[in-house]
Amino acid sequence: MQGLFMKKINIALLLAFVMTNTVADDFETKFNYFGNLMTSNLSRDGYVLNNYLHSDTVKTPSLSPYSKVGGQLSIFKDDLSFTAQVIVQNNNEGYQVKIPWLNVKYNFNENLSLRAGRMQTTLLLNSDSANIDYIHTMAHNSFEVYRLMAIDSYNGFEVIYNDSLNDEYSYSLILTPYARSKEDVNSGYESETQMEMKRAIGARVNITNNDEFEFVASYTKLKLSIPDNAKLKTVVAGLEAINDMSRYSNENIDVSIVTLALKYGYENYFLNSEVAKLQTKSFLSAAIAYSVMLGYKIDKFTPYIAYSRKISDSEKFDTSHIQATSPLENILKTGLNDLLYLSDANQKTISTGFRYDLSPGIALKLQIDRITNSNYGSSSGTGIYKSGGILLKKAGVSDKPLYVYTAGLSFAF
Amino acid sequence: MLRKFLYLILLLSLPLYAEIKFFISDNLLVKHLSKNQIINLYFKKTKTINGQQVVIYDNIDSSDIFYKNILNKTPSQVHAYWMKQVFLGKNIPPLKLNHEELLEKLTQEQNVIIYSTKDIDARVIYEEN
Repeated sequence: MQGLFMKKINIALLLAFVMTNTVADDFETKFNYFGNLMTSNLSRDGYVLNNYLHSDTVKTPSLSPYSKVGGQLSIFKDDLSFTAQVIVQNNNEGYQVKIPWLNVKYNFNENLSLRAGRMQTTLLLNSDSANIDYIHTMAHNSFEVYRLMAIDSYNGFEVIYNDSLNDEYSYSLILTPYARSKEDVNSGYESETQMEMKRAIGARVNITNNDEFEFVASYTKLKLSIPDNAKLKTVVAGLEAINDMSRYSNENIDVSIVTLALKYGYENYFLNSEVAKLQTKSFLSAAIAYSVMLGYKIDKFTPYIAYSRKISDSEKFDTSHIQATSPLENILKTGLNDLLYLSDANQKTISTGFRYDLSPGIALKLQIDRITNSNYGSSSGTGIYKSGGILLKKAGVSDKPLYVYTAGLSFAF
Repeated sequence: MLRKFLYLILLLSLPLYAEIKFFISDNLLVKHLSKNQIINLYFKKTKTINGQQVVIYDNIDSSDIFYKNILNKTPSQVHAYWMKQVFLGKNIPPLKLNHEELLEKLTQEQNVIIYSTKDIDARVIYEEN
């Protein structure tokens, strides 16, 4: 019912967009576009990277999963603004169209505003601009930190308060009293799973001084459901006769996320550091992820190095307390281990690369990632892909480091 | 040959050290602005001075000098800043005008701030060499 309500709001917003744009001449309208033309290559076979099948494309570089094109319509009128953003991206499912932004914002005064509709999350430094790669130094954000929470857009309301601390520093507080979302996220080899976020509330504080310093802290609490996970339902139903399987429910899973981020620039150096902690007592993995990036600006040329890590909570992979006496129960328990293994995403990445600003609006980027997985739990066979929305690795593939080479152009105008 | 080379170097470096001045409409009662106030107005962190709404315009001819000397940023960095503001639905960049258009704004509209490397017959509220 609430989902239907938000859909109606989105349709109403879209209509408002079109109508205000056509009937009112005094509305200031801007159209901007952005995108990536990237190619990437993996050093070894047996992986799916960011929802793009790489296992057949190792020998020849392929259109990267980061290739995309998007457009945004913004309409401003005094204290009112509309924003609609559409992105087209190709992956192994074919071309996909996303609408991460479709909202209306009203400024009550210079400090206080309200935004309603569809918007991107604001958990981390670049969460709300994650699709606009041109404005970020790296070819892509840290897999480990930015894919900790698979859902990146939601329908809801935001109350935003901005003010100055002094001449140099300003701060903003964003309260999200209501948010929900339903998204298809990649869950394995050429497969997607619907995830539903309900009753999300959040708060974010941000302190900044014109791009040289930025501090972000956020807290989000939500209920997550994965309604179509038939395998999990079967496993749980089969084992709950003799075990307490409440932890493995696929409905209304309690999840909370805490993030801290700091961006600091000193002369030509700049440092971006982020840490995110996801807490849950469920078949999903509680995890902590962090990344540190150090860059050096030499006019148009910006080389950088980065280190990212995600550590899953090993406790959740321990199923020794689950009793399985009959052959059927043993099969079900193996199925549960496979499901847990699927979300095992212990991973670290060392990245290096550079950005070269060809002109305002176009940047050339090159990045090399060295990704290492480590395992918790066990799986029953090589058909299982470890997921977590980061780097899907086929079970049985060696744990040797994988290299990902990404190069291309990012643009925004 | 060496002298010609030095002249060339001097010539190339001149625009980057040109004096930049900020001018304000007559109706505004402000006498002076700090560099940080200028930066905050340009980035639209604030839109008022002493409670009065102001509009700042960008200058096509001297923007590179303004970005480097006042904002301490390259044109690409300033573009990236505004792209972030635009794509997050926060703000749009100041209108970028040529010298004649800026003069027209300053003389015909109220609450206007412009900058230029050229001398203009208007009140200066900030200057930097």
